Amino acid sequence: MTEKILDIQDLRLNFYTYEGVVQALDGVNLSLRKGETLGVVGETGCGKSVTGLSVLVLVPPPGRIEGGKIVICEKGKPVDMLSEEEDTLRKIRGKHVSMVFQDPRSALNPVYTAGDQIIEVLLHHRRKALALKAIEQLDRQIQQEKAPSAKTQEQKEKKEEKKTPKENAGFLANYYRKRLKRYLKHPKALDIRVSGKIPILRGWKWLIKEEAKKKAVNMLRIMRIPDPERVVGMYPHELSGGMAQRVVIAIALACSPEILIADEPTTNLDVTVQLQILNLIRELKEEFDSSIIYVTHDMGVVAEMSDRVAVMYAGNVVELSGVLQTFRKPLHPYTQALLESIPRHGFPFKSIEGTVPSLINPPKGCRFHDRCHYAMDVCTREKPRMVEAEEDHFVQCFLYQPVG
Amino acid sequence: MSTKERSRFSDFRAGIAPAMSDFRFTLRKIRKSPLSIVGIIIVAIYVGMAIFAPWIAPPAVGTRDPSMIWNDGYALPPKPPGSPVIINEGARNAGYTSHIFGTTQMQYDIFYGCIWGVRTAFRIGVLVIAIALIIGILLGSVSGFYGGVIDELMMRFTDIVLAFPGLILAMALVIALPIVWKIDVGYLLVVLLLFVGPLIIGHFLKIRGLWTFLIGVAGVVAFVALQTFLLGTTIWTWSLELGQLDKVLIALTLVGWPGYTRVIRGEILRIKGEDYIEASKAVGCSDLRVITKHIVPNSIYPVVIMASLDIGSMVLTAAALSFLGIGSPEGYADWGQMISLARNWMVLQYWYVFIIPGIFIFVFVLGWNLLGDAFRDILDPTLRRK
Repeated sequence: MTEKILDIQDLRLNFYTYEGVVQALDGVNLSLRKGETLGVVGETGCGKSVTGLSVLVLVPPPGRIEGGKIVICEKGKPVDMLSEEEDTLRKIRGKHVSMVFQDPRSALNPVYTAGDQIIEVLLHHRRKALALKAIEQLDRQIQQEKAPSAKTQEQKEKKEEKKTPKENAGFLANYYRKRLKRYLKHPKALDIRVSGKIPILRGWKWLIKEEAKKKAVNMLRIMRIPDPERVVGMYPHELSGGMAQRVVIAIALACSPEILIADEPTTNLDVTVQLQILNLIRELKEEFDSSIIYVTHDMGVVAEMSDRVAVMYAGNVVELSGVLQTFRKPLHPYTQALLESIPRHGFPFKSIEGTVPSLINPPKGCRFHDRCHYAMDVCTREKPRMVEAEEDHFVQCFLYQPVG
Repeated sequence: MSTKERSRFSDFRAGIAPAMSDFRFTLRKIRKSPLSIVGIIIVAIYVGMAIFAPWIAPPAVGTRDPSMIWNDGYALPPKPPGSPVIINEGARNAGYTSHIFGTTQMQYDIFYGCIWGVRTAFRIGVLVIAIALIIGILLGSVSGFYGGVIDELMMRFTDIVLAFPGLILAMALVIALPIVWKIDVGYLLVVLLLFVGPLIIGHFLKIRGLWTFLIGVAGVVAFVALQTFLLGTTIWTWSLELGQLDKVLIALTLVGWPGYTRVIRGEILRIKGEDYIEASKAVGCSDLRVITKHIVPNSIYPVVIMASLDIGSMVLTAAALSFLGIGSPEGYADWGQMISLARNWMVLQYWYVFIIPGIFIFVFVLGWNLLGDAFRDILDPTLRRK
């Protein structure tokens, strides 16, 4: 359980806008253990989503990663995402690390059906496995076609005995089988690429696609979508919000990734659907053996979903601990204030005084000091380090740092 | 054996069932809007005319070029519909006893010109728009997707072209284009490299932006230097003779592409920011795949509709060029050229000289405009279904 599957060290990320340099992430330290759900909470604009995107090294244009390390564990082998080539990253994205986007409506391409979009991921990462399946399917078909004719007509049977089962089957089926076999051996051979472009001769590609479609239907069934055979052919605008989100999750989980980044997947859904989706994600985590980074600003969802919680403020992770510790005994003043500001029946509303500082000119020292009740002199001068205040409870605050 | 075949056939039917239901839906959609049916019928009739022109209006026996209108002598004033064919032996042998739509100035047969003019119109409209569309989509998508220096250069160049009024620029180009083209393949490669070189080199060196461009330019300069100093410049030359109509085609294409480039680029800038593009990158799609499979299919509809509308207006522009006397040569089966011949006879007495070719142009443009609307209904999946 303690094996780290993702380790982010001192991640720095700036957005270069016309107003100035926005220091969106200022030394983020995070780690994700195998099989756990890490909740990332914080106010709007504190860098939660950007952290998620930078794990995939997909920061939108004015942003640039300026420093730090993102190490993921790909089948026990550490990979530093920031120093990898784009080609390698493309093989990792969607296969080992994938992402569920916030707004399911806009995360689906309106011109393709739900099925097409799941198939695309499968074809991108799982082509060979699908080709193997297609061969199995062909073999079964060849067997079946042979069986009834052999039973009914004895005369023909004698003739057919001389032939091998391969010769007996249709010419195309045999050809496709050979092509698939060759594709498995040399996926980039010239004849494979050429025959993949000629109509009829490229039928073996369709067989792979057929298998992918079966898998897509299966994925939708796992997502508890009623009548998946029909939904596969539906366009995004025909799906309800909950269904669209399930499709988005299905795309993310299609290749059973080791790390799933869920960027507020339930924010745009109503409460009942939200609960269904949360339960679904929790069950799928077990089923696909994934680790999840769950980004949200909803403390209730965090308490429900996560094993550990990372609280972010203005581009810093200020507290990182087990979920019970976060809620029972929050250490950082910001976490305490955040928990107090959850609306409760019978209590007056509370909010954190002041506003989130501009990240173009962030306050010196601790970025929370001008809103903090416990602010000291040192807070305005220096930036606190991440310290382990209790066992497995990290906090970035001078209150818990040994003096000196 | 037959059961097996039947099962295969039913498999096939089940396989294409979604496509068929889609097609049926499209048909229903079209049937609902009568105007698009009218558009389709008009364009279909014109297509029929273009294909069957040799049977509807057989060329006069002994002509070398069927796209030249046959004439019955060289008398100046037009003759009304129904007047007999007297002098032209070849036309009489081809079965013409009278001029069905009359004759225009210099006794060119209006009926023959109108029917064979359909072929010219399609050649102008479809060819020009297709090439302009390809150029527009290529340049627009590259410039919109990558942005930066490439975008800036391409867009300023389109601005320059757009700054001139289309008809005037087309006129200038038609006049300026030489009839015989000596194409130096080496320089053709240089021009190609100017556009593609920076991208290719940048791809291999894994860099983008200003450096890519500078290295690309350096590469082109090196290539030119190599060619001029080491190999000499005239090693591969193609000689190409252009007809007057080919010049019109080239000029209209050169004038027509910037509009598409702009619209495509604008659409791509809009689509690029959408979540599903980010999502497609997050599942590991390459740039090429993102452009061709996700961005272009989403951004192409406005341009396709624009193009189908423009097919009509391109024919109009070509007609205007012919009318001004710099389009197709005299006697060529082209509606604009026939109206140009009618310039001196625009009185009610000679109505057939300008009204009949005018109707052909009018209905052609109208048909394509209506078809453009039909295209929108058929193509846009967000407008489909309910």
